[in-house]
This record gives sequence, C-alpha cells and structure tokens, in this order.
Amino acid sequence: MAIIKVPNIVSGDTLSSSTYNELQENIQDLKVEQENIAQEGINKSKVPTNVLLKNRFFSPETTSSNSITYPLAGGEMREGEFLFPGSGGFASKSLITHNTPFSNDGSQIICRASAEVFIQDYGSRTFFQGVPPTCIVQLFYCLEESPDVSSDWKPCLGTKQMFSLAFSSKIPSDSGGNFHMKNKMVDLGHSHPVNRRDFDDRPDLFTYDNEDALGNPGADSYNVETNSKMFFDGRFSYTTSFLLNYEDLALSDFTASIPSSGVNKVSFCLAGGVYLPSSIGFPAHPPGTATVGTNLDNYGKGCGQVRFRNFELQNFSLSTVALRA
Amino acid sequence: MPIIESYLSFKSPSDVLFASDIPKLCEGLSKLVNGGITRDDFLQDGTGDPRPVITTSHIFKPEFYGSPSPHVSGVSSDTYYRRRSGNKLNRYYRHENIGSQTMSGFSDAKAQEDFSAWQPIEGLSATVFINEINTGFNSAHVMANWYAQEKGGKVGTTRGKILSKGRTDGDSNRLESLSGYNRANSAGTYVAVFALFVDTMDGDGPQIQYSTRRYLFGTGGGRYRCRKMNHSINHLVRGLTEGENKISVRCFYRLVRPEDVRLRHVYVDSRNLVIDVLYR
Repeated sequence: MAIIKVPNIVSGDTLSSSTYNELQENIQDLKVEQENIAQEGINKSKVPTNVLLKNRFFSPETTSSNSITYPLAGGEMREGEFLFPGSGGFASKSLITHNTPFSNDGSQIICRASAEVFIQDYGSRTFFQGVPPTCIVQLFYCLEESPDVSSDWKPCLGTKQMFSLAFSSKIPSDSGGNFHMKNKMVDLGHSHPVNRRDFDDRPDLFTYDNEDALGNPGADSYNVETNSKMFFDGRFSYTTSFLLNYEDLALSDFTASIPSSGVNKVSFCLAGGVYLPSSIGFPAHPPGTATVGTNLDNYGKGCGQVRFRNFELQNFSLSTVALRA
Repeated sequence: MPIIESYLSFKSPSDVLFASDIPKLCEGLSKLVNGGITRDDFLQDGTGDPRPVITTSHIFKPEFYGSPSPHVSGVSSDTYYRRRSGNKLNRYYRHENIGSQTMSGFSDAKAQEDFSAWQPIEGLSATVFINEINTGFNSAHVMANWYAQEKGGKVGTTRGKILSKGRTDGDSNRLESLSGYNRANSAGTYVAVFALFVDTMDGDGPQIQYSTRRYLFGTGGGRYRCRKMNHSINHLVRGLTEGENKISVRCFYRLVRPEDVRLRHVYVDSRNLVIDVLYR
C-alpha cells in the first residue's frame, strides 16, 4: 500500500483501539510507490552537485603551437595497415587522463575530441590509380597508470576517420622542362633533348625559376622533397565523441586482467596512421630515400618521385566527463 | 517498514493508550521518513525486486525556449542550440567590408593581434546565461559545424578572352598558362580563419580559443570545388561566469593585398551550434 489512510478521529469521541490500530497498520503496511513522490518533486533543488557529472577533466589549454606531427619513417609506417594502436601513431600531446576510479557501478565516461588534419600536397593523383595515400585518425583509450607509446591502447570503435587529398599540384616532369630531365633525356640518347622551360614561358608548370641577370639558369622552384610552392595542402576537420561503458572493457581484450574493483585511471589519446599504396613506390622507395626523376621503371616514369609528407594534427581539443549511474 | 516496527504499540480494547504512545509513534515516523526507507520498503514486482519508482512525471520538466534564443533549461544542464539550413536564404556572407586584415604568407599572427577583425557568424553565436555558478563546473561543451566556401573572386583570364587571342603564338599560350597558374595559386591561399571565441563579460572582451582554429582556402575563381569545406569543432569551454557569457564561432577574413580581387565573398551555409552548459 502506497498511501497512508488516516482514520477519522473526531474531538470528543472515544478513540477505540481498532481505530488506533488501523492507523498503525496503515503505517506498518506502507510500501513506497510512485504515488509517494510529488509531481516534479525531483528538481534542481533536490539534485546536488556531482550527482550526474562524476568529475571532469580537460585537455591542456593550447596555443598556436599546438600540433602533432606523424613522421613517416621506419616502422612507423606499414603498407596496407590503417591503424597504429601504440607505436608510431601515439600522440602524447593529445593524451588526456581521467583520474577518477572507473568501476562497475554503471558509470560512463564520455570523451570528446576534435582536431584539424593537415596534409601536405604530395602529388596525389599524378601518377597512380586506385586508393591514394590516406591518413587515418582515431581515438584510443588505455587503462594503465602511466600510459606511453608501448601501452596497451584500444581503439574507440566508430571514431576512425580517413582523409586524403583529391587534387595535387603538378610535380616536375619532362613536360615541365625540368632541368634535370633535359640532361637525362640527352643521357638516354635522345637526339632532341627536352628544352628547359622557365616560369615566363609556362607559369602553370612552375617548375623552374627564371634565369638570373647573368644568364645563369634558375633552380627548380617546385620541389617534391620540401613541398615548396605546392598549392593544395589539405586541412580537414576531425571531430568525434565516444562513450565508454565499463562493460566495454571486458570486450576489449586487454593484455592485463582488469581488477574486479575497477581501474584507477582511463586515458584517451588521438592516434593516426597512413595508408601508402605501393603504386607510389613504397616500400621499395620509402619516403626520404627515393630518387627524383630517374626511376623510369616505376610509376613515375620520368617524372619526379611522389613524396608523401608528414601529416599533422593541429588545433586539437580533447575533454572527458564521467557520468554517474 | 522494518524500522518502524519497534515504535508501534497495538492496543486491545481494554488497553490504555498512554500519552507517550503518540510521540513514540511520531518518532518512528520521523525515523522512517528521515532516511529510514530501505529497499524492502518499496513495492516489489513479481520477481521480488523493487518496482521502478521514479518516472518522468516526478522530474522537473525541462523548460523549452524558442526564438530569439532557443534553448532548453534542465536540471543538470542547459542546452543552447542554433540551426541554419543550407538554404541560400540562410546564407551568412562575409567579405572585406566586415572586418579584414591584409597579410601575406600563412602566419595568422597579425590576426591574433587585432581581434576586432574577427566577427561572429550568425547562427554560430549564442549568449548563454549561467544561473548557478556555485556548482563548481563553470564549463560548457561547445559543438559546432559549418559548411563554408569562397566565392566570387576574379582569378585568371576569362575563357572568352583566351579564345579570342587564339593559341597560335607564345603570348596567347602564355596567357592561358598564367591563368591556370593564378587559379591554382589562389586555391592555395587561405581566405578565412574560423575560431571559437568566449566572452565572459569580464571586461577583457572575447577571447580566442586557439585550439579551435579552422582554415578556408580560395576556390580559384570557382574552379577548385574541393575547397568548399565542412568544418567542425568539439570544445570544452572553462571559466564561465555567472550571468551572460557570449560564445561564438567567429570568422576572420584575410586579403593578401587591399586591392586584391582574387578573393571576394565567404559563404557560410549550413550551420549548427550546440552549447551544453554543465551544472551538476
């Protein structure tokens, strides 16, 4: 019974034991139900601080120097693999640690993140077909006390996004009258070597600066190794959010067992990777080693070797908040 | 009601009801109401578990406000939102007359010195009212996205002029080549920067949130449509103060030279802004 019925006790009448006992029985039989709570009885005045939001942590406030570079060298780049759960793609600058114990009490942690993905122009569609070099960014989480690059990072499913360039500046080729190509064609026995063209002749090729006042030939104004004077750098927005349930931890196949009492910390970070197709010369010609304009046996076929440059996460922001059950 | 059992005194017809029985009963009731209700005191379902007691009718209704400042005022948070569709009638225009700076290179340092050149974007701006500052959070999640493009810039040489020159000599070929070069160059020039600004009305004016900057490039006279960009941010704002706080995504319009006609309008079409003020 949810409602206590008070017997009618009138002044001047005799109070019988049955009436008094009825009142006590009603109290004794009381069972709290929906009727015992007033409409809109749970309102702002009844909800103290930290009831819903367990705690909150923020990303470090950042400045214009806020960027992460993903260098492409050695084992940090793997052909055909999109993800770096740890090694090369770990972005320590984006690390955010939630220092509140996370246990099986129904709590949830929400991590929100956004960043600007900067990809340098690299000659994306000049030589090859199929999937172009593709940058991948994803949110990861970890339960270790002091997470680092070798920690057991797990991906936040559904937060992976991929970015690639649709257009490219033109890279040096024989059609551009590159000075190197001019000589090379002579070396190959052409009786009519490619004439060098300067900027005044064909500004859209922009491969060669004008001669100086003394008549000395200029240098390549366009350089795939430094990506100078390339116009089509890409800047994309990456924005995501992820809700971590405690139950999800059991599904994540962590190397170390998760104590039944929960974990002390949960850390998140942004990590990335790059897919590089073999058609740009990888892995036979990894970035930084490929020659320019001489690999006639590869897809370049006389043009400058495409050089995929680093991509960066810039202007990023992460925050976490824990919700109580 | 186990806790109240010891405070009850059932009477038989010949028993005496003492005055002390009444305050004893009241004491038992107070023990029960003041934190004595246990799991067993709830009405149970068929499996022996307490029935769900709290329903939506028991919770204070959120208050919904429409124009001019649509928001929802709730118990644990207030949510402000702005939406503008991609309809051209909802388009936000930006050009050099509404605050701009001339800068060469990619550095936007000059823009950071003159924040008056950053103007709020209609549909990506809101004034939020913080009515409880003592909850300790003083924070708001800001989520925004928008679709922007440069349009109307005059870059390169018109097709008609190139064709009228013909392609028979070096000059005409050079003209066509230069036209293409200029368009590519324009597509590599950023024309606008977007960033989130927060003004807590403390007298210091709107403050840029550096980690929310997003860049927009020229379209090369409309040739490079890949430069139409969708941008988004997800940012946690701290240090809000009681009362009004102005939160807005602002646009900085950049020209390379004052007389530059390569870049003209910046359109910001589809816009969404959600500000979730955290209380408890």
